[in-house]
Amino acid sequence: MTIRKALLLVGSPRGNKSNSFSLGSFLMKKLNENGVETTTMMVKDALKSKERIEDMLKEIDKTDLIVLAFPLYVDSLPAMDIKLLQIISEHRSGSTDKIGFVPMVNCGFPEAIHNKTAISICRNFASRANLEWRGGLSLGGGMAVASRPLEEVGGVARNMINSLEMAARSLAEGEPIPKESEERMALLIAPKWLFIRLGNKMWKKQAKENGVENELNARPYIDD
Amino acid sequence: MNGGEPEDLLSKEITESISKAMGEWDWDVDILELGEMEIAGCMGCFGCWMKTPGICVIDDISRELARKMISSDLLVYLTPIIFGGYSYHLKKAVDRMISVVLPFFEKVDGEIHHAKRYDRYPSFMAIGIADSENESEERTFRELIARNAINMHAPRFSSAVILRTDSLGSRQENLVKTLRDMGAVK
Repeated sequence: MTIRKALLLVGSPRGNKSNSFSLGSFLMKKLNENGVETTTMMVKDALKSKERIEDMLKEIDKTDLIVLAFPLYVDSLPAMDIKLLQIISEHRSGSTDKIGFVPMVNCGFPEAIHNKTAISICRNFASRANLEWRGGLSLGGGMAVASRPLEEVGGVARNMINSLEMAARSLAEGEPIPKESEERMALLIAPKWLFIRLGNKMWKKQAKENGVENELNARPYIDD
Repeated sequence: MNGGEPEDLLSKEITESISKAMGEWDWDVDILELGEMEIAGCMGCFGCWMKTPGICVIDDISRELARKMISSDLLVYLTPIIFGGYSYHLKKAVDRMISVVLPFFEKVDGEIHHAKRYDRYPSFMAIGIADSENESEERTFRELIARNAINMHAPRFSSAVILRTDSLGSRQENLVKTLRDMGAVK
């Protein structure tokens, strides 16, 4: 059965200047093209006050699908998203309204497998919050997106775009994300050796811009 | 690092039990009650790698947590199991301690991780408190500990799950066994 409304929760502390926002808003755009009305909220803002939490919970009550887009923080969700999940789970306690749930996680490592524990946490949450699991999207090498709209990222985003277009079609029908969409999102964006080389070069360049290239390996917490 | 709510008596009891058991083997134990601390959330700015290498740009107690972590031989997390993961209090502290590794990527057993900033890192033990049995959440929790251990370069790691319904005797037994597995007590 087709769905009417979808809610994107952007779970990055960087809000709309994040890869989570780039990925999530692209999915919302595609859902929109498939006839779904979408709303986007930043978790960092939604948790700022009781009133804002209430507003978010009202949106949740009205929606047919929740998408939580977040960056991987130490094998899990950023702390504020743990709080978010607890609030939603408590709110949904005993509720039987049919709402679907999709987490979408991106990490800085090239392998999407790093996201596995975060996806498992989300799945356990869905079960506790009486939300229907509609699959999880997991991306490695998220920094390639550089918080840009996916359409502007170029060839490296091809699989991400294909995956999200596929996901949107199924989700709009109230169906889970196809396996192929999950697999496509999880493909390596570059060979690992190249990723290490380019990644490390990028860190050095950034440090140089900040004038700390000679301090990158600092050990402030021990007496060398 | 106790990530339980300040009013959670069981997490306080477990903290004291660990401290007592380790104290008997001459450990100097530092107890950090995270729920009673004002810890800001990580902003995801990478400043601890790119602006003030090794130190988080937010000046709060988390800098001290990172210092204590890296100067210890054994790091113990205690947390209610939340959907298979850590509590909000503990996760805030964990997110703020990525300054202890380098931004640089390197391969560890075929997978890419962040390289060491320091020569040595503490062994790592985590104790999860569950309200009731939940196989899926326990599996996730144990996986999370194993993954965290790789990312924080822990030479040894171990995890335990304690049910709120466990008897005092069984709780103590579980704790001592886990500490023994870590070589922390005999």
